[in-house]
Order: sequence, then structure tokens, then C-alpha cells
Amino acid sequence: MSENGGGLTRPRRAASIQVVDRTGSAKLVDASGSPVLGLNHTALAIWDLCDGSTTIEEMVDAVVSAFLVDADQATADVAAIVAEFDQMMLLDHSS
Amino acid sequence: MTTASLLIVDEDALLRDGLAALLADEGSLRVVASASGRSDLDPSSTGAPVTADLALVSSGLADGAFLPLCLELVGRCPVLVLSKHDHERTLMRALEVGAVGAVTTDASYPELLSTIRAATRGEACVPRGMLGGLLRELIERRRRDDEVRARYARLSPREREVLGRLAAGDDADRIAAALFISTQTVRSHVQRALDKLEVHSRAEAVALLLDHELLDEPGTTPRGAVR
Repeated sequence: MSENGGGLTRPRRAASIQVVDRTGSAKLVDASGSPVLGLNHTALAIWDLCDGSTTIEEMVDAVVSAFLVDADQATADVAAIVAEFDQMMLLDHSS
Repeated sequence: MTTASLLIVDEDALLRDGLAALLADEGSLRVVASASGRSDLDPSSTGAPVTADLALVSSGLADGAFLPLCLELVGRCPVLVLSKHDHERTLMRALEVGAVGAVTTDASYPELLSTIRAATRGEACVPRGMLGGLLRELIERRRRDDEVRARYARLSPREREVLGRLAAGDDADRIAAALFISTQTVRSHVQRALDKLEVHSRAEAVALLLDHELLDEPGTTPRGAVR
């Protein structure tokens, strides 16, 4: 797995995956409703940004501004989250 | 145990006093000052600038006092925004001027305490419900900024110079005299600049440049202008 989220530049959520319990213990569920991944609030925000038009670089810049962290830290954090989505096959690679 | 001192700024006396009373039971936190707004913190009335380890400032201060007050306080201590509504744009502006984050008034008391403690350590604090919207807002702002900068890059040095003089309050005649060109040429530069910036008026152009920090302040030369 590469460090930039599986080589994705503009990750896109798979249409079959949905978020449930956004205000509590948010989790992703598949088409059958089975939970596939629990999300902390940062991962949930990154998931929402996986819309196919937002670049990983844009996500990193926003995280840097929001959390007052350095760019290297933010890059590593965002890449790890997106890589996990990719590894769990939650992203759409069709386009 | 180290005790952190707090300054609370909110127009609502009940909230200020109630919070101070609650926090009085916390050994590690102490409210050293509270104020209803900017005027209460004016050194001419307090005798000296009020200082604390953390300022908790309501985003709902009247008369646009919130951001200027944040700007004043961030040089002295970390500022945590007390937000009565999930308003990502307000939080984004506060972060831009140096606030460490926000806590919403619907937070539980333990959440409030842990956020205050994190903020006194200088940690960024973004309410869970606001993070997604905040990141989206930051990204949209960055895109708008990139778009405006791309438009600005199309302006010639002379067009930037003319806009800078307009922003300083010069009229076409004065600009023409200063640049040794005709008034009609000045008007042509202005019109071309407006077209390239995709705005409809001189005021809109100046506001755009200021908003995107392409003009430091009225009267200064835009970046890249002929000097």
C-alpha cells in the first residue's frame, strides 16, 4: 500500500457503503447493513471528503489548518486513513 | 497540581457566573476574570491588559466584536471559542486569527472540561459535529482563493498599479496624472482589470483583492504592480 492512500489522488467512496450513527459511534456499513469499519470523528470527516473531487492534498491542507499540526503529521494521518479505506475496499476505483 | 486561569467573555451574565461557579469546584481551573464584551477588557478601565492561561470567548458577541477581540487576545493567551451554534464559518474565521478551536454550548460538562484542559495545553479543539463542515469550508475557501489568484495572475503590472491606486482612493484623473497616461487609458486599464477579475465594479474588485490578501490594505500597492 502506498503512502498516499493506495495511489489515489481524489478518492471516492463506494456507493454501496453508508455511514450510520453519525452523532454517536459512527461506523461504515455495507449494502447488507453489516458494519465494516468504525470511524473516529477525524476518519468520519475524511470519509465525507472522499467525494471523487477533493484531492488528498486538499484534505491535508484542511487538516493542517483545523488541527494546527504540521504538514508531515497531517499527510501521514490522512494517508493512513485513506489507505485503510482502500484496504477495506470501501473506495470506488471505477473512474 | 497546576491551576490554569480562565477568562470568560460572554454577554450572558448567567452563563458567565454559572460557568465560574461550576469551575470553582475544579481544583485545576480558576476563573480569574469575566467580561460581557470587548469594552470590559479595555485596559483604560481594567488598569492593565487582562491575562489568563485561556480565554473562553463567545462567538455571539454583538456588533462584530467577536473576531477583533479574538485577534487582540491571541497574542496574550490561547483562545477557545464558545459557540452557541454549529457555525463552521465562524469557527474557520476564529482559527484564521489564531484561536485554538471551539466548544459548543450543547457540550456536556465533562466534554467542556476536557476541551478547556486541552486548549490550555495549546491543543487544537474542534467539536466533533463541526469537523466535517469545517474541513469542507476550509477546502472551499482554498479553492476560491486559488481561483481568484489565477484570475489576478492574468492582470498586467499596469492594471495592478491602477487598481492599487483606486484602492488608495485616487480617481481616474489623479491616476492618469501620476502615471503620465490619459484618463481614457486609465479607464481602459480598469475595465480590462474588472473583466479579468470577473467582477462588475471597482468596489467589488478592491474588496476581492483585500479578501484574498492580494492587497495588504487600502493604499498599498497590489502584489506584482509596477513600482
